[in-house]
Amino acid sequence: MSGLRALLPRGQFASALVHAGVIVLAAFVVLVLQGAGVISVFASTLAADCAMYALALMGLSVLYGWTGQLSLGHAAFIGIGAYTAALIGPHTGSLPTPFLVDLIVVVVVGALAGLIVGLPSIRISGIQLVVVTLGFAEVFQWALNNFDGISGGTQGLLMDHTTILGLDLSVSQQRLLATALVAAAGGVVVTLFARTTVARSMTAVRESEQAAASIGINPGTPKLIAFVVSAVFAAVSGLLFAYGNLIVIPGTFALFDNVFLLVAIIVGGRHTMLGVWLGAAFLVVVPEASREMANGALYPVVAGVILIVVMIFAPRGLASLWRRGERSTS
Amino acid sequence: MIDIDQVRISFGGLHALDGVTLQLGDDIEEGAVYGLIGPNGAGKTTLLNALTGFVGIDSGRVSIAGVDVTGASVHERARLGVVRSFQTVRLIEDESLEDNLAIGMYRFRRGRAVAEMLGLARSQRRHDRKRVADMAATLGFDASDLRRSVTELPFGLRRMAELGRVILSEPRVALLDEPAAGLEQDQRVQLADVLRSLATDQGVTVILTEHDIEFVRRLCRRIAVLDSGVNIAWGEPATVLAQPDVHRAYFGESEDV
Repeated sequence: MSGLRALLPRGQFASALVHAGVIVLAAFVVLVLQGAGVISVFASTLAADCAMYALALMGLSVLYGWTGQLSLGHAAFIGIGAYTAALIGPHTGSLPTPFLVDLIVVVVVGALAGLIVGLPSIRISGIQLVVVTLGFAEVFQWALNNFDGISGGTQGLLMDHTTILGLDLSVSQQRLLATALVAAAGGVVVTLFARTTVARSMTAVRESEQAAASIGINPGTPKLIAFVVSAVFAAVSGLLFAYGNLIVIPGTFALFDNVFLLVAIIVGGRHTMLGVWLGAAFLVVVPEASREMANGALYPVVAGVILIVVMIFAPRGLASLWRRGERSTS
Repeated sequence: MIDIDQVRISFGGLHALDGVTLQLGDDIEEGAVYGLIGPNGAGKTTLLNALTGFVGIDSGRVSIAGVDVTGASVHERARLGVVRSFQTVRLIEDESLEDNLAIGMYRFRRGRAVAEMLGLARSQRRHDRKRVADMAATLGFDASDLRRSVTELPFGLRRMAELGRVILSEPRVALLDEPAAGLEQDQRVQLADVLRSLATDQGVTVILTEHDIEFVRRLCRRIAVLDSGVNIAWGEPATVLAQPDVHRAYFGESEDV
């Protein structure tokens, strides 16, 4: 016991592994319940979507939660990952590649996109930066619709299935397991990253760029790194999205998707991993619930009402309720 | 250590600094505490801003340890060891005291994110943790405060937390903007002890602005008096504070003080 503790400095690795374990275990629980007929087959699709969104929101948590930079272009980064996967993947044609190669290419493309879109963050912040990210998202949308030679235009691109570790991403149950594994790995990366000096410098620029500069932090650096990291997470999420749906179309990465991602991380809680998962659940459950109550058109209204209620009762997101309860009992 | 040469700064028509010349840190070998006093609007904070790079200067030169830093940015000067605190305390809100202190060591710990992620910097991390804990104890925190969010701390301790961040950055020059403002009497005593030891034991040139003349008189080896952007006096506290023009600038025209 004490020997094990010595291997785990200050719980840094422990919390990363616990996080990963919980996610994979949760995926298994869904699959078992489904096998036993307790929940419908559809549940594994929703759970896989949840893990996919969680991966994207981890990036947004780093960007907004750590450095305080608002982005309305996160869905566009997901789209960049999805379209990159579609363009290099099998069937659409160009290069039939194994998943690992897809992953590497998507990470590189995502990082480059984050770097380019993040460059203005060195000079500007706040609402000006929001407008820049929104502009990027709209240009991306416009490009998808207009360069149909590459993007397939409004028809999008069809894809062939692919596998991770033998798990087929287009088969619901296998997709759940594969997506949970990738999200767990992403969670490990974020949890370990959170304890680094770079991460501390990110929170420092969030509160005061002047104070950060006064101890030798070049404020542009952590802000730019956050953009790159957030874009990579979004792009990998997009890769999973593309292979899960086997089609990518421009409408999936449009204005409202950008808005809902931001709303989700705010509702869930932008500072913690729990907030990321609550936000991901929000992105999956709310549209489904609104569809069942009336029709899909109610989604923005329901989401808006939830946002307002959460902001009144838990301004730091739903995840803070749990921590508040924990603190009051201690 | 610090050479301020004919520095002028205007905001519109207002001459915030009107040709200030000062040499600090060369007269006393081992590091000392210097005081910068003067009435409100005299240009004290503007001078700190000019030294740290927060405002550009219209003319003149600032050099630190022989290096001309007149055009250098804030973080470049900080990496040379010029570190400051703020009149309104600036901390990383919602983060722990431990993190708020540890970020002070940034300039010695940057660029090793991968090693830190893989747990390769473990002995370093333990060492840093110990230093942070020791610093917190020196500044009057309880050990249990390390895990607390700085946002929950009372004002005096927040100011102390900011000071801890400055000290952990191992400055050559520490510029403190009203470090004693809002502190209880016992905290002021503690602050004076910490600053004295910072100067004499670690050889840091400490420059502070302060309104409490008694505090300055006891702590500072030399003081400079600013009035309307001009340096009207410089020297040992007893001598400077006895000068009639300093009296006039500080306490008004009244003779019977």
